[in-house]
Amino acid sequence: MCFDGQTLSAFLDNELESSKYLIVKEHLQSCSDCQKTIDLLQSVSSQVKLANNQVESFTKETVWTRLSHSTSPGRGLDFWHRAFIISPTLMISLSFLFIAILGASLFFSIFNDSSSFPFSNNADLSFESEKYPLEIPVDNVEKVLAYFNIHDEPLEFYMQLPGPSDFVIQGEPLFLKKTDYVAER
Amino acid sequence: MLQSDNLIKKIFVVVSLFLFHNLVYGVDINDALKYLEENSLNIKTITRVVDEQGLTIWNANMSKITISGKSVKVKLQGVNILVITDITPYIRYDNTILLVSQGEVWIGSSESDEMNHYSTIKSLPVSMGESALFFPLGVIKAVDRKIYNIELEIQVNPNNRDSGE
Repeated sequence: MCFDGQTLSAFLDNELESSKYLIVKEHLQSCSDCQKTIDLLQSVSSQVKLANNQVESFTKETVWTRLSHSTSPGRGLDFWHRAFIISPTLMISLSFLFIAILGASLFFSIFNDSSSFPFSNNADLSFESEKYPLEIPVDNVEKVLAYFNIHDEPLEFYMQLPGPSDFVIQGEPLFLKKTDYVAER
Repeated sequence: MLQSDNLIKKIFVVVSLFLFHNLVYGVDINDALKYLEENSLNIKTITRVVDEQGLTIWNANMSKITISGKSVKVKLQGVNILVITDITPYIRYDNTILLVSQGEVWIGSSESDEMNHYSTIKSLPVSMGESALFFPLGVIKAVDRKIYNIELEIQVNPNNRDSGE
């Protein structure tokens, strides 16, 4: 008579009474089915232990790394996790610099139409529209960009052929210079 | 405190990168429009329906402005035929044009219900202003009955020069 999985599991964990333990042990020597179950249980058990160990070691390592970083600021940390302290003086200086750059860009964009200053992209371009024969709106940057986004598809032209005409495929399509074609004819 | 420092740091890096990008790669819109004006192309096509004698019985003109590498699509639709031609001009290093013409023909027969599809792609180097001819159905050989053919005459000019005409 074979034992159920619970008994075999208890056997494997050494949780059976000694008399029952011996009975199961003796049975296992002659029963291949129960031996297979034992092997399976052992395999599962070892995998679970391995997984537990891995999780445990990862957790320990992570915690240890964090601890070591927190106790030695600025060492061994990547850029994003380093302490970054800006003194009030530096902060004020940077603010003034930023305002100065912004002011300069506004100055150039207002008083110098042909300026190539990098912040002058919002300059009024309506004065250019007469010079450009392109059928694109050039009164501001957004419209130009929108134009090219919309017209990303090929420019399409549709023509209705006269009908009913009897068109027939004559052969291989031909693409040649007009002068060559006229000369051939 | 540490989190706010990190936030300031991230904002600082992003703003710095943005400013650097603008300083180095900032393209002025005037320059961009000037480039477009100088490099835009005007594609003129004359579509003709010719008979077996080569006489034009119908024609239509079309003119489109494009830039190098951007195709102009011409769709011709008849009773039993649909011709789609994509014409793409590429400006070459010596300022000549490489014309790439992709033709697609759907043609039915008046005698049966069947529909045939043909496609082709051809390229031709031409000079600015030089005319090229594209025959999506081929060229009519000597025939003894009334048939029609389609031809597209394509001419590419610089847009700024052509606009003054």
